Amino acid sequence: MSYLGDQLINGLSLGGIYALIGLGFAMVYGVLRFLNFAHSEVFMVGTFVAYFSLLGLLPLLPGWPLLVTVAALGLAGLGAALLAVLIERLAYRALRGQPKVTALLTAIGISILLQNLSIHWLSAHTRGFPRVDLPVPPRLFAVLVLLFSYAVLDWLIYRTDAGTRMRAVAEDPETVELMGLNPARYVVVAFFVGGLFAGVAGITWGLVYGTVHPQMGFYPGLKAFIIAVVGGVGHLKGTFLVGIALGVIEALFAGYLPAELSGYRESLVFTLLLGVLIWKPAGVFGSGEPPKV
Amino acid sequence: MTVEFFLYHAAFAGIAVLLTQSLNLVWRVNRFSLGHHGYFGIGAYAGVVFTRFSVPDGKWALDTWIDRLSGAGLLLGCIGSAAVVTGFVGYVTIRLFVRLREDHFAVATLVFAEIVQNVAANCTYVGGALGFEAPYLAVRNAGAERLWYVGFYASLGVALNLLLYLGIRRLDQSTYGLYITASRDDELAAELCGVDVWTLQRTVFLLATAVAGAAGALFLHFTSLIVPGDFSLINGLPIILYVVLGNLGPARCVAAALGLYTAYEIMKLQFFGLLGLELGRAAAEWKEVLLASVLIAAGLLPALLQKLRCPRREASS
Repeated sequence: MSYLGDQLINGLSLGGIYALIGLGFAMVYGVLRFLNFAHSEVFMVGTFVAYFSLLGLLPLLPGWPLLVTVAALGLAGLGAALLAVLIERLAYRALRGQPKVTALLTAIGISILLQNLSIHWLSAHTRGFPRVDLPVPPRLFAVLVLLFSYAVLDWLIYRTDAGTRMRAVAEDPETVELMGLNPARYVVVAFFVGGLFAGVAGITWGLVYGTVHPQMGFYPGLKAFIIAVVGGVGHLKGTFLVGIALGVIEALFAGYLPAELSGYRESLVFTLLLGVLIWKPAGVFGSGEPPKV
Repeated sequence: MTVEFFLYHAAFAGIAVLLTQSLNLVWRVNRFSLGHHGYFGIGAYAGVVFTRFSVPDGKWALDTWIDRLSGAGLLLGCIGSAAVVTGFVGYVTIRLFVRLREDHFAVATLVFAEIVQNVAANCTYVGGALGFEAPYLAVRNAGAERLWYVGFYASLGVALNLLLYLGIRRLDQSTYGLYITASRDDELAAELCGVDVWTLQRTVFLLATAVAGAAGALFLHFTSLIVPGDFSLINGLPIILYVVLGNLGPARCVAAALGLYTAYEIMKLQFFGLLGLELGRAAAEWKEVLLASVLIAAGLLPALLQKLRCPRREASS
């Protein structure tokens, strides 16, 4: 494949990971109007669950790499989702009705806490992710997983009763409560699904980039965070498209920037995101109306 | 515990309190910046550029009194120019972020601070990832002079803080102080009463970032070695915590900064025999965890207390 084609596949897989993390932010923002900063760490924990699952399962089922990967994917998603729900239950639930900034600061506190507890328990060094012989290259696997996850989410939100109720909660929680539904339950669902995707993003990241360490969540998390805002918070399709676009742009930066400028890649990406945020504060796909899931 | 140790921490606390006072001012006009450490970094790196220009060979002779006095003048020039540059950058950024509110503004400033750190880590002119070593300008940090060195920077920090504190107090007593209070309580109502909230926010942000820049230049020459990691979120978080714990009161946040800084340093000291030794080591090892826990508690406790006081209203809201 040509060099450009390689970079595009790189970009699609990276963008897919950003989009998966960003969707978690967007879902929680949709129902709570609050940026869950700790989502980066949910992604990191998901990657670690995948790492340990693969380490444990690969020797048990040596001839079944695909089965092991799918099992690890499920475990990573489940682990991350449970952590997200736990954080919501223990911390965010008490903060309902508090100013947004209080919730954001608490979320940053939780993020730093999880990151540093992981450093203490798992050490700060970078670990090599177990190699799995998949029938397709890891990057292609990442793209397939992303497309599948997005299709599932789209079905969940727009084709099921639970999805309709969740969109109703995002629209107007008070009215939903008057109709006899409990909005808190759908907040938990949003955290669960967001966490699930973060876990899936985690194992994909591990398979594609081959490394895992406790501080890995910060930059992808921060980018996904802005992707969710730039995509028009709560607009899942916008988040998805902006995530993919960012991944492709970043891969092109990585592939075509001169060597002496390659260190500035992160700054360029962040500047670009900030530029779009300044240009369209309600998001590229936002209509200026309150965002909906 | 020696006088030198005390003065060393007084100088560090002085820099932290400068940052706390300035961030507090920004938060009081409803601009919840989380990127103050970025402006602190810009000040430090503006100081690096100033120092490289004025002392090209990286060494300043400290043989005569004239050398020392001109070195002190240079240091003040460095702090002043860092304040001007950072204030300008702060003004440009607040103009750019005009339409971003609350959490979006917080994230934008946080990302801006990350960009500053990343650029500093890659720009070899300001030392890159290895950092920049500043020459001693007025006093040497060696041998018998060490006491004078820490004393000099501690008194500089105290003087700048006093000036800032008195300035803020004077501001609070003026019409502008009332404007700040009014815009904090209700921006829309304040605007309807004729307060130009946006100009107020811009001006306050410019002044506060200028102070952060001055603190950065002071930090550069006090530590005499800066690396980009000094300006990361984890190092900026204590400042945010002091402002949160000070509950936006100008005097309260200074008290919170000094209290927490001292409490942490006392924990790190090996005061209490064997137990103290363990506590000291643990305090240093678990610093970030401790910081995050206090931040979470600061957010959660008021909410939980409110719930305990009126559980029914909370449940229905």
